[in-house]
Amino acid sequence: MKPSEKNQRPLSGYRILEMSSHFAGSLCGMLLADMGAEVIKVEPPEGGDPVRRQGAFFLEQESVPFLSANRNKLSLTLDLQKEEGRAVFHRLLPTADVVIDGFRPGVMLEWQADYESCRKIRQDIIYLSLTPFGQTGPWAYRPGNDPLVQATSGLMALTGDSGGQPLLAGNQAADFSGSSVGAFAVLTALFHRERSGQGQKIDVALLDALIYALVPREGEVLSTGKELERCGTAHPSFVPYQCFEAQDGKWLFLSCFTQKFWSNLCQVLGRPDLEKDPRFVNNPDRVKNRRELIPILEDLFRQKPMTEWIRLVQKADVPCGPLNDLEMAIADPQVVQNQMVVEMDHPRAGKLRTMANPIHFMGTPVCYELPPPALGQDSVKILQGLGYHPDQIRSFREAKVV
Amino acid sequence: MQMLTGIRILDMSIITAGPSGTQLLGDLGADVIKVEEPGSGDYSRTLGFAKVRGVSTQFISQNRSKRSLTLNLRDPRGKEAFFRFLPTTDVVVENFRPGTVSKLGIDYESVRKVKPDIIYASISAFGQTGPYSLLPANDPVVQAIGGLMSMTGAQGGGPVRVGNPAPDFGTGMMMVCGVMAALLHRQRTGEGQKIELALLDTALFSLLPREGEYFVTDVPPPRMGTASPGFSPSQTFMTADGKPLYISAFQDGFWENLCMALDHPEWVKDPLFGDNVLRVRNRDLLAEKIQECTRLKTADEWLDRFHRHDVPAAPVLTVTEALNNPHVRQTGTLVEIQHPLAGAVKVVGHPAKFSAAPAKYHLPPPGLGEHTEALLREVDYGEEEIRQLKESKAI
Repeated sequence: MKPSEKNQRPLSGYRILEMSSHFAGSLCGMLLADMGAEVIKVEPPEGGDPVRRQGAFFLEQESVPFLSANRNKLSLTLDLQKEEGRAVFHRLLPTADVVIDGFRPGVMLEWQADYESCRKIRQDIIYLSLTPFGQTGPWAYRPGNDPLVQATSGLMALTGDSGGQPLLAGNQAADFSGSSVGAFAVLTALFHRERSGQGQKIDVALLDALIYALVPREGEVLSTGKELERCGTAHPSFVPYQCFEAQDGKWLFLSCFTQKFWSNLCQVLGRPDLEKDPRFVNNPDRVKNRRELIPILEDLFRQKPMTEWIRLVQKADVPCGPLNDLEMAIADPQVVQNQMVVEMDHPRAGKLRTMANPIHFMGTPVCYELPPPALGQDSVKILQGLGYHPDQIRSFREAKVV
Repeated sequence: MQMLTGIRILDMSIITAGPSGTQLLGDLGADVIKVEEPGSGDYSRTLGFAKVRGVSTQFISQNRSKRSLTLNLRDPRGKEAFFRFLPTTDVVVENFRPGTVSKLGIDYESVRKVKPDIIYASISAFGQTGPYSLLPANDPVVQAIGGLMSMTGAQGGGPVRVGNPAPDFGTGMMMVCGVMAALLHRQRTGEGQKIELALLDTALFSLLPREGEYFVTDVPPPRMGTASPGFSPSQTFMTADGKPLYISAFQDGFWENLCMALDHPEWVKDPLFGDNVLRVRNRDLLAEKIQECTRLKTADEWLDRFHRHDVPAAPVLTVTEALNNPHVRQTGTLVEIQHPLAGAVKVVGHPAKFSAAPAKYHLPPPGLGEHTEALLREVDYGEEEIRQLKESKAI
């Protein structure tokens, strides 16, 4: 590859076949597509990727999850249950560098699209299987998705009010964790292939990724054997470290995880006496006397509106922030500054807003070139690229192979 | 040989956003050198109350597969030593508050003068510029500002912090994705670059696809306990023995399986529950009906039945249960490492399983400055020089 052609991005020139039926696979593919890979979604001609129809929110028949996680990709329809579809897939493979498999173990084998079949055709292929529970073990063949992985990872049990029930993390924590580990693994394998010529198979389970994401909280359990408690927005070993409600009913979060922050907070609250109070001097004292301290602070925070407190507490150099709902978060001046919302033109859905890629490459910036593809919109172009004759493509269409 | 053998990383990052990522590079063979302040080191060495023979579990969790080099970067001799490592270094990682590396004279521009193709990853809470950039913060502050805390909680209740440091972990992951992409780019073009990451940006990106929900409805995601607005049925249900079970059968095929497993095949044809959109609309009624059923058997009985009917369902496990469950044991999620002080400790292994060159766990979390002298000798420091550096507390 020549040094920096214009618009050269880290993954320019690599082709990825995304054979996925769940959100995590789509998100993993998009992280790589944002970095310049040519990601082809290989979808069944009938209905396509099930994510296209998932959930209860739609824009012009395309589901919100699909629109969120499929920019910068092409769509090829292919019926892998048909012999002819598999033949097309096998002809596509020599042009591919990576396959992303999001199906339950065994499905790709049935379609002769498993790792062993693929590497017979493309020896140095990188093959990522990204599944809820992995390729082996008693749960490998069970159906799974984001909330079930949250439930089985321990995250749900860790999330909740003190004395309350376990809660679902508001975001799709397992999907995000698994897809980011998957993208990292593919990038590492590509780097390895560039240096050694060797391809390989990679197995990533959303469950393993989410258990790793507990870091460092799992360490406490592994060393002490004691179960972690749910504590709302608070922290078991730091006080004050939680949300407080302000005069106007809005909330703010603050965390005093050093003595300096506590001292600064007492000053800004106009209560230097609290810092001297023997019950609240050091963090261990404050943890022990949490029940006495928190009501005092709650009363104080009820005396001014939220934005006023944020201004004062920030000025005092204490870590804090407004408790933003998503609407407030997107309008937050720092989020605006970071240009985290991207607008794209979608042929059917019109102006489409989505989240920017959070990796800011100064040398090879991420581009937002293609809106999420319509089902099969690139089939003809891709098949022509493989040398198929237009008549052949037409007959594939008629036979619903593509 | 491992996949990242020969790649050297000078890692100045502390606590979690940074270390949790560089650990994964170390597991794959990169030479991760933790550059720490003499005397105190990474803040996570002393953080928290859980310790194994004096070693903080927070540190153990995220610092294996690394070596520790103490350098006082405010001391010219410490800084000089830092620059002596640069010619053999591929990646620099830092998460100081914005502006600090410039003050220290170890920012990207200064570093690339010595090593033009360096990859330099800067992590901050809010970004290198903008109104919050210089404010202090930690993970939950970002959960609050990024919207995550507001959409987590019981219905009608207050906001709740997600139980793991989600923005910290996520930023560590996005950092290693960026670093690997940049290494690949350098491998193909010879060019290095700077990468910037902010916890706030990662927190927002990790909300996908819930941002779409808001863009379509103009209603910010509400708190719904274990349910979410777009899917039904998908929530916990109580069983006869008081254990919650998560059932997530919102796709039509799985919904039919659930009806069969609950012995209510007639629900499949019920027009109130015909597809996910209708099931979302009639969520409360449906939840009540399912709850009436699940109350009748124990969690184990239901799980067995659900799995025979291919219904997506799972127990809600505590962290201890999660780490000890037979599936996790069988798939090798946990690994044991030998720590010189703490002894044999279990840690969560690398979450990606590579067939060509799997992760290895050669080095336990290092003692503060454990490898300082050996590393200095590698860059040709003599014994006398090392003695002087020590005396003046530059290392």
